[in-house]
This record gives sequence, structure tokens and C-alpha cells, in this order.
Amino acid sequence: MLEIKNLHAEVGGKEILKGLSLSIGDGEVHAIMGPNGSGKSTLSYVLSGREGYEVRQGDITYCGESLIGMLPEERAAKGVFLAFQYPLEIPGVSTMNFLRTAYNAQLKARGVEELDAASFLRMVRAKADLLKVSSEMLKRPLNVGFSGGEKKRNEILQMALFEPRLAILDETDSGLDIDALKLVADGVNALRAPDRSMLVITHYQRLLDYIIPDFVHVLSNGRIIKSGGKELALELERDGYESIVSSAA
Amino acid sequence: MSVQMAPKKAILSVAASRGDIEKPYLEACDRVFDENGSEPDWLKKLRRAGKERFKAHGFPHRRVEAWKYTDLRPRMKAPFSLALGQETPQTIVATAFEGISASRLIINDGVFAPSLSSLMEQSGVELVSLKQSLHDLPDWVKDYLELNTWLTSSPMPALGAALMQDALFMRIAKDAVLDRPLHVIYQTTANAAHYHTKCVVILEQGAKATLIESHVSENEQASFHNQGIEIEVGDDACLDHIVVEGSAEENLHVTSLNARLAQRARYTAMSAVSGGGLVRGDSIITLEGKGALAQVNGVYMLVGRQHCDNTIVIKHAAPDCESAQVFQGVLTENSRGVFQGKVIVAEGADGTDAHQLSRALLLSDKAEADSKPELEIYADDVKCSHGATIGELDKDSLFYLRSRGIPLGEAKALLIEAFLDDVVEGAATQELIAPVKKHISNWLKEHESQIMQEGLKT
Ligand SMILES: Nc1ncnc2c1ncn2[C@@H]1O[C@H](COP(=O)(O)OP(=O)(O)O)[C@@H](O)[C@H]1O
Ligand SMILES: [Mg+2]
Repeated sequence: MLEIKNLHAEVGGKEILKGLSLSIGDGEVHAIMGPNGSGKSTLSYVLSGREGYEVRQGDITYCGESLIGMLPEERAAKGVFLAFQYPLEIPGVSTMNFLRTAYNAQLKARGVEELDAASFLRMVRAKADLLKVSSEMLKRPLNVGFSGGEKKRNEILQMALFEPRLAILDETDSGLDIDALKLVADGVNALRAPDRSMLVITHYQRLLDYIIPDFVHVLSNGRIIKSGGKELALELERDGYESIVSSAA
Repeated sequence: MSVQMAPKKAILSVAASRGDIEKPYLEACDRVFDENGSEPDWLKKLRRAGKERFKAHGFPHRRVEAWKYTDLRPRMKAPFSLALGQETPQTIVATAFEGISASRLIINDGVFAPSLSSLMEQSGVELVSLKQSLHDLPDWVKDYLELNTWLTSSPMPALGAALMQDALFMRIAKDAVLDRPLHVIYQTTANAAHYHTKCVVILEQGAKATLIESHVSENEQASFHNQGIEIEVGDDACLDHIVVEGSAEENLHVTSLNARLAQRARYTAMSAVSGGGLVRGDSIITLEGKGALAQVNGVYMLVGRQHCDNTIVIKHAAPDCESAQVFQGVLTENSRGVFQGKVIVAEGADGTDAHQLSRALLLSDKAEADSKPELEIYADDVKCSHGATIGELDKDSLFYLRSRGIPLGEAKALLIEAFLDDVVEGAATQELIAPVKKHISNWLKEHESQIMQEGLKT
């Protein structure tokens, strides 16, 4: 589904990803763990096509197609979704209007007929209820004045709505208390499917108690230095990044 | 000392060419005087005084401080001839307010066209056309004309007084609350013409009204509309004023607005400019009565070489008055937006609360925004603030929207619309906000290529 080979990427003229390779199969959940500054968010932006994140070497193949040079909106329409570490606040654009514009834009790009307002509203309501996103929240400007937890729930609501083939979750657990974390994790787990793969980026092992990964990778200084099963997360939690980084070196 | 030589020479050369530019307009004045020999003496006098004042000053140009960013003179070189109004004008239907129930007053090339207007029986409004009732003017119109406010500020209203083919006077009776807006539609149909309009709107004590002004056009060669509007808002009266300038991109349009507010009067203005090649809105708003409030908001959306200048002077002449000016615009291609906001707080106008904000979005590195806030304060207990920002669309926000599948053009339009709607919200009643928002969203749809063109400066 996703095949990253020897990826070198630059931000602001500085090489951040230094030969990263990763392969994700259909329906698999992979976790990427790593210390702050190791390049986790950079990887998520390179995958979603953010301007200024330049691939210098290597390949990213997604569903048999190279992602390199593809516009962010094209990637989204093809099923790549990034739940942001820091979702943007956009004053003046109501959450509901944003959701509908985005949803219809994706349908249009795929050549599917747009959904009428009433059916769309019903669908959003149903999905929002599960994530305890109130209809009042949907009327508010996108993420403006939302608490940390509300923002993250809103990200997962979008994931539920857009039904991506590849979901990248960047530190979805950060800033959440335990109840909010469970709610978000339940939302994510409900979306696990044989044709949907996930890349769960986290700094702490805690999230992986709730979203249980098939594979865990450790990212350090722009490369994956160790991969394993879900037990690797526990090992990291117990021994810290230091010991793994130094033993890999 | 020798340094001063050069500017002196320059002034001389300006003075020499000045007469040339003004000449056809002064000749037009003489023609109008000749053709209107049967007009009452007071009107002849007014016209002559208008001509003299215009002759003394000429068209405003860059050396006049208030016109520093908008040089009218070179634009007036175009061979415009005075429009005299058509025998049988036709209505141009397209205005943003199509579905709104209103009394529609159509002014075609400067002449009120009663046959096209729908003067719904509206109690509380008196309407007088100078042309229609020239020899039978009611006293309140005569009283108003006695004030001669047209001859006191910039030369433009004076030129208008000399050349006007008609003028509309509207008076809203004491305590009358109009159930429908008054909608004045200025249509330009004449080619390469100049025309001059005057509207006077008087709200007596406690009256409440909404005035909409739409500018539409159907001409093929650029014309020039010199507009004058005088507003008086009486004690406890309230006027909502909405302006949509949507005429062709070549036309020139200068508005001189003069508003006076009595005690606890409220005046809220909202303008949306997307039309006109050069649009100058000159407003002087005087808060004469204690506790008056003026809120003047505007948005502008420009392409090509469009130039939009909003110059506002708010005079706080009485205590406990509030004023706010908020102007926001989006500039594409080679366009230019100007905001000059001046607040004058007179001696004794304590308890003044005055705010100004100007924000411009530059979508092209060839576009330009100028902002000049000014404060002149002669009172002690005063709260004043001003802010000005010039920026680009937020890249992070654009990426967020695009990462959700919204194409770049649509993402930009969404952010621009949010930016502009923010000014429109709260500027008028919901019923009237909707058409202005529609005007904005239509503009965005029609100008996707301009928005995209030089968008991100990476
Ligand atoms: N725009 C940028 N310009 C230069 N360096 C950047 C930029 N953005 C991020 N970096 C650097 O890239 C490195 C990786 O950052 P990031 O991917 O955010 O790490 P993580 O998400 O793992 O904490 C950091 O050293 C950071 O300072
Ligand atoms: Mg990060």
C-alpha cells in the first residue's frame, strides 16, 4: 500500500529525513515513535505534500503510484489523510461548511457526484455523535476556540468522514486527558478496516495501549533505527529512547 | 536655497497644464448655464459659485495631501463629455439586491428616471427631484440648499453643483420607521461621458431608515461619475447605509459624502467595491450631537489596474460619541488599495471612543496597499486606537485546507471570503448582509484566475 524507500527530505535547506525506509501493507497499523525533533512531523508533511518539504532522494509509492510532486489536494482525493499535531484555526469558515466543501471536492476529484446538503448533514451528524462532537461545535468557525481535545476529535471526525486509505495520525494523543484519549482511540479503532492502513505517530507509549499497532518503528535523526512488534513500544517506555538510540548506533 | 528652485519649476508646469485639463469641464459649465437660463436665480447662483470654486482649485492631484495616493488629474485627461440623460432610459437589472423588497430609485447617467423607479407607497418618506419640481420646491429643500455644503470641502462637489442635471432629496419624517429600504441605483449607460449626481437624505428626529446605493453600468467606453451625497441624521435617528460598487472596471467614480449626526444619532455604513477603474470614496462624518455613533465599514476586491481609495474623516465635535472605521480588501494583479482614516477630536469632545482598522491582503507582488491613519486630538478624556496590517494569505491555513482535498483556488477563495465577510457581519441587518456576501462570493467565483495567478510568493 505504502512503500517508502531511502527517503531523503529537506526543510528550509536542512536535511531532516536521512534515508528513511518503511513499508506498510493493506489494513496494517504501524506506529512510529521517536524523540522530539527526530523528524516525525516532517515525515507526515512529506507524505501529505506540504510546500517547502523537498524530497531530495528516494521514492514514495502509494497504491502503485509515486506521491512525489503530487499536490496535497490530489493526495487527499486519493485517500491520504493527515490528522495534524496542531490543527489550524480558521476564523470565518464554519466547521460544517469546511467539511462539506472538502468532502465534495474529494468526490469531484474522483468523478463522483456531489452529495446534497441534507444527506451530507445527516451523515456528519451520525459520525459526530460517536465522537461527541456537538452540532454547536460544527457551527463554530473551524477549530477557533476549540479546546485541545475538541480539535483532536474534530480531526478524527474528518478521518471518519473522508474514509482514507492511508491515515497518518501525528501525535493525536498530545494534550489529551485520559477520557479524551479513550474517546479518540475508540474513534480510530472503529475505523480500522482491511483496506485502510494507519501510521500512528507518537512520542509516548500511552496511546498504543488503546490503538494497538501491528508494527512499531523507532525514528531517530531522520531514519528508522529499529522495528518490531507492539512489544517494542513497551521496551521503549521501560528503557527510554536513549538506550535504543545508543545500542543501534 | 537653490534646492527650492526645482520644485518651483515643477509647480509652474503643473499650473500650466492644469488649465488644459479643467478647460472642457469649465466649458461644460458655461454650456449648462446657457441651456438652463430659465432656472431660478438661486440655482444659477449656486452653479456659478460651484464653477468658481472648481476653477480656483482644479481637479485634486497628488500635491493635495488628502489626494496623495490618488491622482485624479491624469485620469481626467480622457475626453469625457457631459451626459445629458436619455429620453427613454432602460433599466439595468443586475444588482446585488435583486430579491430585496425596496423602493427603487433609478438615476440614469445622472438623471432621475421616475418611469423606471418603483416608488412604492411608503409612508414617512418625501421624495423630491430637482428636475421634476424645479419651480415648486418645498421649503425644506430650499432650506437645505441655503446651507450650500456643496461648496465647502473638496472641489468635486462644487463641480457637481455646477454641472448636475438633477438632484434627489429624501426626507424621512419624525419617528418614521421605514419598512423597506430606499434603494438608489446609479446606472451608467453613456460612453466617454461625465455626469454629476446629488442625493440629500435627511432623517428627522427618531426616524429609522436603510439606504442602499448600487452602481451598475452598461457603457462600453469609460465614463466618470462624480457623486455627491449629503446625509443628516437627527436626534435619536438611525440610518443604515449600504453601497455596492459593481460597475465596469474602466469607469471612474468619485464620491463625496458629507454626513452630520445629531444627538444619539446612529449611522452605520458598509461599502463593497469591486467595480470601477478608479474609485475614490471621500467621506466626512461629523458627530455634532452628544452620544452619536458612526460605524463606517468597507471591503474592496480588485483586479487588473483597479484603484480603490477610501478616505474618511470623522470629526468628533461633541462629547461621548463613538466612531469605528474598518476597511479590508483583497488586491490582485496590479491593483492598488488606499485607506486614509482621520479622526479629529475637538476641544471638549470628552468621552470620545474612536477606532480605526485597515487590513489588506496582497495576492500579487505587483499590487500595492497604502494605509494612513491620522489622529488629531484636542480633548483630554479620549480613547482612540488604530491598526493597519498588510499581509498575504496564511500558508499553513492553505495547506490545512488542501490536505483535506480542497483545491488551491478554492482554498484561497474560502480564506478571502472569510476575511471579507468578517467586515460585513454586523454592519447591517441580516437581510441586507446576505446580498453583500453574495456579491463577494460571486466576485470570487468570477475571478478565480486572478486569485490563482500570482498567489503564493514562495
Ligand atoms: N521549517 C523548518 N525549517 C528548518 N528546520 C525545521 C523546519 N521545520 C522543522 N525543522 C526541524 O526539523 C527537525 C524535525 O522536526 P519535526 O519533524 O517537527 O520533529 P518531531 O515531529 O519528531 O518532533 C527539527 O530539528 C526541527 O527543528
Ligand atoms: Mg511533531
